[in-house]
Amino acid sequence: MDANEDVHDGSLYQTMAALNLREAVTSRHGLTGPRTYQGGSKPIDALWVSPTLMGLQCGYLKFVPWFDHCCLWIDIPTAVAFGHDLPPIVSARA
Amino acid sequence: MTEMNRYWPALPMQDRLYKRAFKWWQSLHISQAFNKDFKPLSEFLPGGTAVFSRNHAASRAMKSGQDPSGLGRWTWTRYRGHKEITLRVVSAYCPVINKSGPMSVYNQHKTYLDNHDDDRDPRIALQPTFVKKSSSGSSPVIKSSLEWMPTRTYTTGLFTKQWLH
Repeated sequence: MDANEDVHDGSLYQTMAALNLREAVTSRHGLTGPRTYQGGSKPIDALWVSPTLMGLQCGYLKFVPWFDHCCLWIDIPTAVAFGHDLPPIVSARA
Repeated sequence: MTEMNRYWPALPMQDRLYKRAFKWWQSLHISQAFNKDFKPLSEFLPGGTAVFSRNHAASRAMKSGQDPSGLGRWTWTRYRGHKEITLRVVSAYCPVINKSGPMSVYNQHKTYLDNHDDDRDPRIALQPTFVKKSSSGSSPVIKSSLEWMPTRTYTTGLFTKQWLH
C-alpha cells in the first residue's frame, strides 16, 4: 500500500494493527527504515501481512530514475502461501 | 502497482493494460482499478491500482475485485491453494493530502464523497471499507508502493523463486 504517511505512526497503522496485520519490512528489518519516497524521510509504503506471513524475506529495492517511490518485495514460499500435502508416513518394518 | 495514472477507456484498445502486457509472459491475469466516475480530458488520471499475476500465478487466480465505490482505491486477486487455503493480494493507494491539484487523487475522492453527502477526509474514508474487504477470509497480503515494471512486483518475487527459475 502506498500509505502516504509513516507506516508506523499513522491512523492507517492503527487500523491495520486492529486487523492483526503487520508491516512486513519494518517488522523484519527495524522501525527506522529508509525513505520509500524520494522526497520523503520515512517509509510511507508498506506490505501489510497476516501473522502467518511474518518473518519472511522481504525488503526494498533501490530507487530507479523514472519513479519517485521504491519497490517493496516479499518472498513467500509456495507451501506457506498455498499449503501443501504431507507425504504419507511409512511404517518401519523389521 | 499503484498510481497507474491512466484513465484506461481513453486509450486505444491496443494500448490498454492487458493488451500491452499479455505477450510478455506465457499467461497473465490482471486485476486493475481506476476512478471510473472522473472522466479527464486526456488519458492522464492520477491514481489507480493493479495486481499482476503471471504464468503459474495467473493459473491460480480464482477471483478478483476492486473498490466497490468505483474510485479505484484498491484492487485484489485471490489465489487458490491446497484444500481451503487461499491467498489474497491487495494493491491499495491512500491519497496524499493535495487540496490544490484539481485532478489530484485526494480531490477526486473528495468530490465523490461530497456528492454522496459524506464529509469525511478521503484518507479516513478509505479505511472502513478497506478493512471490511481485507478482513474477509483468506490470508491477506496488502501490497504497496510503485513498481517500476511488472517484473518487479510482489508476484514476481514470489513466483520467480518458486516456479520460474
